[in-house]
Amino acid sequence: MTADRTKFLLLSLVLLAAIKFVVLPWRDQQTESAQALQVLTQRLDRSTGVVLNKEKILSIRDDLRKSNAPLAELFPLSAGDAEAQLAVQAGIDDVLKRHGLKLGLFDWAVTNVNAGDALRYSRFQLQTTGEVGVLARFLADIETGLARVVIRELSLQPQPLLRGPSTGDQAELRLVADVYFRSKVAK
Amino acid sequence: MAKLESAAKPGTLFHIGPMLEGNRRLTFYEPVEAKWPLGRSIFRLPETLVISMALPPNALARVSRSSTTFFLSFNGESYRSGGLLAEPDRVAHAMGLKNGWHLESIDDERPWLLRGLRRLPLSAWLLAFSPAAASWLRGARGPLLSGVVAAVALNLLLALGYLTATQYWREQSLKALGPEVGALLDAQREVDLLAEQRRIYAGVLRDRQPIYPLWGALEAVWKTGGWISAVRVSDSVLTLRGRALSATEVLTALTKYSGVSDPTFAAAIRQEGGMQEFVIEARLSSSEQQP
Repeated sequence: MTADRTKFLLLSLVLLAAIKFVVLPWRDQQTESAQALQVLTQRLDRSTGVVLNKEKILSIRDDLRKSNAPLAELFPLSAGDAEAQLAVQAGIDDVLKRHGLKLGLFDWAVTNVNAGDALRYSRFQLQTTGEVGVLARFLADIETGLARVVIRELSLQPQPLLRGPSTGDQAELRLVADVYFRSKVAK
Repeated sequence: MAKLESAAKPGTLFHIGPMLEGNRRLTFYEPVEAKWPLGRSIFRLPETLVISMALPPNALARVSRSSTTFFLSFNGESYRSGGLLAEPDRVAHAMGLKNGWHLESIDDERPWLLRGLRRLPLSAWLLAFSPAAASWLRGARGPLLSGVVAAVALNLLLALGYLTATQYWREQSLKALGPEVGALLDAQREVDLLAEQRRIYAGVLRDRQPIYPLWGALEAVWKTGGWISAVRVSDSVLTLRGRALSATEVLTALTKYSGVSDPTFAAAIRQEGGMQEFVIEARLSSSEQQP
């Protein structure tokens, strides 16, 4: 009876050790192999797909490269966010000077927001005062000269009324706009 | 424990109760009768144990059948009815049941047995293996164990073989596709990237609503002889405040101007010093023509 029990206990011990040190590690390794095989299968499927559609893929890529280039050029590529903002401020300063307008306020309300892929934008607010015809030309220059600027809000506060295009009436212009740019460091 | 077991009569059954206040109750049962031949049974369980499992707390059962009557408490203690212990009150007193005990009269044991079997703990079932079943298990243990080990090993070996062969075949298929696969995958990734860029650029340009139609709207107001007192554009919605001899004439002029759409009065018109004060809202439109 005692010999039987000893034998049974030893057998159980050997069995448990075999499960712990042989069966479970072996099974874990097989799980890893199955996952690796799954990845390999997906890679093979993708590879077969691209080989079969080689001409189509290359053709689409070339078309996209050609059509994207002029679109991308609308958004200047900047080495960094600070550099892009500086360039915008300099550009707006030039336009203001060209029209003889004085800057009342300029402030970055939001900076370096990721708009997707490498495109980012910053939002500024600007305030200046001038004759209504001059303000119209200033805005036209901003819109046509800086294609990457998207005006979000605008207000004209006449002092006190705008009575016509050539009356010389003054107004205060307040502007909120987004400036888009491509950043080399954007994620 | 081993000593007690070996000192008991052959066929004695025992039950180890649950731990209560640091003690376990060990109950021995000496079977005096069985409903079926014991030699062919797999489990051997005392009837009193099974019925006691089905009894509610503080209950005393009187089990009657044709040949005998006995009392059974909820904790498994039992007395054959007779002599001084023929009345339930005395039996309850002898068993030390607390006040409020109640009597269950059992004439048909079957439902109580079924209920009690369901409440038996696993340990009771393990101890209830009959000697014949235990002997059969001992004999079959070797072949069963060998079979299980062989099945596990075979399963692992087959899986290993399948995984190795499939991996090799897939790698060969990948090699057979040629060296340009890497470049083509890069091209595919570039296509995805360029398409995403195109979507983003186009989205920004599409949402870019020009402001310049605003000036055409002001000119339309001026042409009616009206004056502007405030201008606001937000999300392409133009709000014009001003004065004119006829606010309706201003609205009519704006309706005819293609640089804005849906012009409406946003507030009531007010007469002020011979002129009408108005607030007009309209949506800026990029399809501007001369007013």
